Amino acid sequence: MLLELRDVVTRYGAVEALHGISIDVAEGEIVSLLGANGAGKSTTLKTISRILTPIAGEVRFDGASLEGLEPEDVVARGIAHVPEGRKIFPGLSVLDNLRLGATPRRANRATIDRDVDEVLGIFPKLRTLGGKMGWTLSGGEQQMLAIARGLMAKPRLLLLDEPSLGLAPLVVKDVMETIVRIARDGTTVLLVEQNAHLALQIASRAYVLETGRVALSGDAHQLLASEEMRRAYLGSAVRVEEPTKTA
Amino acid sequence: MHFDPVANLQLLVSGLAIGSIYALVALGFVLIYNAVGVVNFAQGEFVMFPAYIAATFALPAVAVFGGVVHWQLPLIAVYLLVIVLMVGFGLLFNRIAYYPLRDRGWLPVVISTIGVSIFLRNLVQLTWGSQPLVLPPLFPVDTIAVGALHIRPQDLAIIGVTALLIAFQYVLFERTTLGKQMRATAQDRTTARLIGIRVGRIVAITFVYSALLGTVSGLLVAPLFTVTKEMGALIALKAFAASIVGGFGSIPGAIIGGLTIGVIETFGGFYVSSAYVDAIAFVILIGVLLVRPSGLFGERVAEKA
Repeated sequence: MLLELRDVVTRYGAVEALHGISIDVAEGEIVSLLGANGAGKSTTLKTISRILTPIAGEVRFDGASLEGLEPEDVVARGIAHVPEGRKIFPGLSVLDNLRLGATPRRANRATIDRDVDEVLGIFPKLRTLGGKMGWTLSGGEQQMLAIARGLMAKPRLLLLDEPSLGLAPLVVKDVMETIVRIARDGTTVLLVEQNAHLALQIASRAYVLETGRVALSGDAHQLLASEEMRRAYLGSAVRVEEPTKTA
Repeated sequence: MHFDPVANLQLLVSGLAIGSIYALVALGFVLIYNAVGVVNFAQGEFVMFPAYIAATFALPAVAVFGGVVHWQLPLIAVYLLVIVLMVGFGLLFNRIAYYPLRDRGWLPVVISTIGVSIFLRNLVQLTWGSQPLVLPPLFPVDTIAVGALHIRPQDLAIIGVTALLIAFQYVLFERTTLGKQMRATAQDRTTARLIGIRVGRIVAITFVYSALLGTVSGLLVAPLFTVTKEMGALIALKAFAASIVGGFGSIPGAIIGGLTIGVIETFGGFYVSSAYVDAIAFVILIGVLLVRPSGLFGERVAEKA
C-alpha cells in the first residue's frame, strides 16, 4: 500500500473529529473520500499532511510512519495536499505560485522552469496567465493553478480537497478530466468530494465517512449502484439511520 | 513670513532624513506583522539597544555596570560588530519571545514583545545607568555647502542608506526565491507549509531582518540625538503611525508613510511650533484615518486576502 491509515483519531480543538478511521490507497489508484459536511473528509487530509496531529493510530506512507513529521517534511516525502478553497498565493504571479510548488525538491532554476513548462502542458489554460497575480484568476483557473502547484512537488500521492467546489459544471468537468489524466500519468490521487456522483465516476474505490467514521467503502461502481449510497447521497433526501456496512 | 526656497529645501532634506528613519522602523513593523500576524512592541528597542552597544564600543570611556570601558574602536568596526551582534539578537528574540508561543494566537505574542521591550529598557538602565550617551558623528563636519544649501552629511547618509536598503529589499522580494517564500508565508502561512516552505526559518529570517532594519536606523540616527533608553520608543511610535498612515501591512505604504510624516513634522516644527513636533505625526494619523481609514495604500487588501 502506498498510504495506510490505521485507527486514526484526530481532535479538532476540543472536539474529536476522527474516531479511528482506517483507509488504504494503493499506488496508481484514484480513491475518493465521500461524505456530508463535517463528516471528517478534510480532517482526514489534514491529518495525512500533518496540519493536524493525530492523537492515536498510525499513518504510513510507502511503508514508513509519518509520526513526528511537520507538513514541510510530508510534502518532501512525496505527498502534496491541495487544500480546500484552492489557497493559491493571491499576491504572487501564476509562475511564482508554480515555482514555489517545487520548494521541497531543492531543484535548480533551470530544472524548475522545465518542470513548470511540463506541468503547463497539462493545464494549457494557465500558460497564457503566467505573469498575472493569483487574485485576478477565476475560480476554475485558481483550482487548476492549485493542482498544478501541487504537481510541481512531483508527488507520488496527490491529496485533493473539494476541487469542484463553487465551479461551473463545464469547469468541473474539465477539472475531473485533468485529475484522471494526472492519475494516468502515474500520480496516485486521494480525492475528497461532496459531489459523490462525480467522484465515483472517476475513482476506482471510495470510502464514505459519516461523523468521523468510515460508514461504507468499496469499489466505486458497486457503491454507485448500491442502495445505501443511493439513499444517503445520490438523490433522495432520506438519510441513512446508521452505518450498516463497513468493508 | 516670506518664502525662502533655500530654507525650505534644507527642511525637505532633514524631513526626508528623519522620515527615512521612520520608514525603516515602519518596515520592521510591517514585515513582522505580515509574517506572524502580530505587532512587535519591542521594535523601538531594536533601535535603542544597538545604539547603546555601538556607543559602548565607540566612545573613549563608557560606564558599564559601575566599571568603565575604554574600547574606542573605529566606527566602521563598531558598525560591523553591532550588526553581527544584532543578527544574534534577532535569532534569540525569535527563539525566546515568539517561537514558544507560535501556536497560541496573537495575544500571548504581543504580550511577550511588550515584555521584551520592558526587559530591554531595564537591562539598559542597569547596564549603562541613566546618563545619556552621544555616539560620535560619522563625518568630521556638521554641514556641507551644496550651492546655497547647508546640508548635514549625516542626513544625506541616512537618505542614501535607506534608499539602498529599499532597493535591496525590492530585489529580494521581486527576484529571489527566498523573497518569494517570505511573501508566500506572509500571504498564507498554512499553505506555505503545505508546499514545503520552512515557515519557521522564514519567520526567524524576518525577525533578524527587522532587527537589522532597527539597528541601521539606530546607528544612523544616534549621532543626531542622544542615546537614551527612551530613544526607540518615540521613533517606534511615529513609525507605527507611519505604517498605519501608509495602510498597515503595505510595504510601499510604510515607506511613503514614514517619509510623509518625517517631512510634514519637520516643516511643521519650523513653521508652526517646534514644541508640537512630536504631536504632528499623530495629527496626520488621525487626519488620514478620518478621510481614508484603510490608509494610503490600504485598498489593496486583495493581496492579503
